[in-house]
Amino acid sequence: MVGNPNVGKSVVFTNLTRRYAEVSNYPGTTVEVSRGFWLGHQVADTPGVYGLTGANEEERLTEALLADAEVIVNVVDATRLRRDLFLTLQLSGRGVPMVVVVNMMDEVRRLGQRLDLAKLETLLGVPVVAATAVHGEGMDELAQVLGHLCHKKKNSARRLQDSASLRARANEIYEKIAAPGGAPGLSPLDKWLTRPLSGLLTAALVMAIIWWLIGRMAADKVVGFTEGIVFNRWLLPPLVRMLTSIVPPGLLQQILIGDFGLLTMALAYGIGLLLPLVFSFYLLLSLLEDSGYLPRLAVLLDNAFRPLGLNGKGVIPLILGFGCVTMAVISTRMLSTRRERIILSFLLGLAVPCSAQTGVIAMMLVPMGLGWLALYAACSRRS
Amino acid sequence: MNLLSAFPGKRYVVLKIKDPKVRQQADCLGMGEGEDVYCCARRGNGPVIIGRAGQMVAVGVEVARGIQILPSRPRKG
Repeated sequence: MVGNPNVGKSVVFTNLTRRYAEVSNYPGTTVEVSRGFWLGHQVADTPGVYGLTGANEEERLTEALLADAEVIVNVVDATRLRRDLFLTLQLSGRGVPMVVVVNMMDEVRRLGQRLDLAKLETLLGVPVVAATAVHGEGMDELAQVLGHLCHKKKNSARRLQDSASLRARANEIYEKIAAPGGAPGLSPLDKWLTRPLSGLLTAALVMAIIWWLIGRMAADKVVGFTEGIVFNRWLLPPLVRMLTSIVPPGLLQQILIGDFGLLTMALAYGIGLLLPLVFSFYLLLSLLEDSGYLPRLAVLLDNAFRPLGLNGKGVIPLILGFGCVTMAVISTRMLSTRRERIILSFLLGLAVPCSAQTGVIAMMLVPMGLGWLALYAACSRRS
Repeated sequence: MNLLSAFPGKRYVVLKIKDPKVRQQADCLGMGEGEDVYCCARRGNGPVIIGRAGQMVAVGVEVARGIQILPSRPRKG
């Protein structure tokens, strides 16, 4: 299953295989290849790519998977068809039986646009299925087409044209099947979020909300309840009493219920402390992804992050790092290149103290006076 | 002129893209050489947001500097 980022491949994959793939509206959600089965055939959901030029990891991974593919399901966004046809043409030249799923047809209808999909089918020479995968529309038809394609043999691959010729051909096809669209523009909300003053104010507010929800609500209140009350008050005391009467004092008892025991510490920390933090972190991250706020924030802060070799998206892990560096390192996956992920991971490791470290640093600095605190703040800014 | 000189609200034709990798990516996105693009916004010294056929792309300063453009003639009709 191949397509541009954010076209709904993972939803089509879930509909076909009944297996959940991580879905969000932020490009690059499918960071790994999800695999499932449809009528005994393996289905692979590849990362979103704009073309097969070998320009990045995702494209190379998709190329490698395509080498063994028996059928290609190319998912395209009906509202971005001009862009997506480039990849479709690259794929159709490989000689592998292929179906094009034109997804998000409900959006096309809502916008009052028209697409001549019968003509598209003729021009491409492969079956085309109209779909709105989130509502399950077109999925039965896709299953029927796939049933036929699975028995088809591969043809010999055509020599690939250069990218400029492919683009020209994609534009030519698009102009034959769709009416030209108007000029795109930023919505008032986009303008608000990407203008320096209003954007920074909103970003500060969003970061403050994240910090409050994770740092105060989850780490303090929720963990205080799950670890402090559920585990330390309700679960562990009877468990310790029971095991003390069963297990004789010694090494085994220490391993199970000692100060650093499997049940007393590992279970309580794993479920009582870390689980609420991880859950609330992912909940907020997915809210940011689904709202489409992250690309706007990246535009706003791109300038500030350029000297660090990063782009504006780097702000989210950096802010989260002040709460928990481990969580922040996990969130570096939102950056597009390996280089950016490494730079940011080093920054998080070396220059961003987590909430616990900040507390210790503050305690050490307070007796030394305000001057040292100011010096530390200045050095932290420089690093 | 390069993309950094583009005015928001104006249409431009992409004349030349210096970096071959960027050129290839631009072709994938439908914003390659010869394409008609629309400047949606410019954020200070930061990215230029350009659009084509309903989609928008934010182009970073370094990349934008290497993209030569010309003002597009108004369409007939």
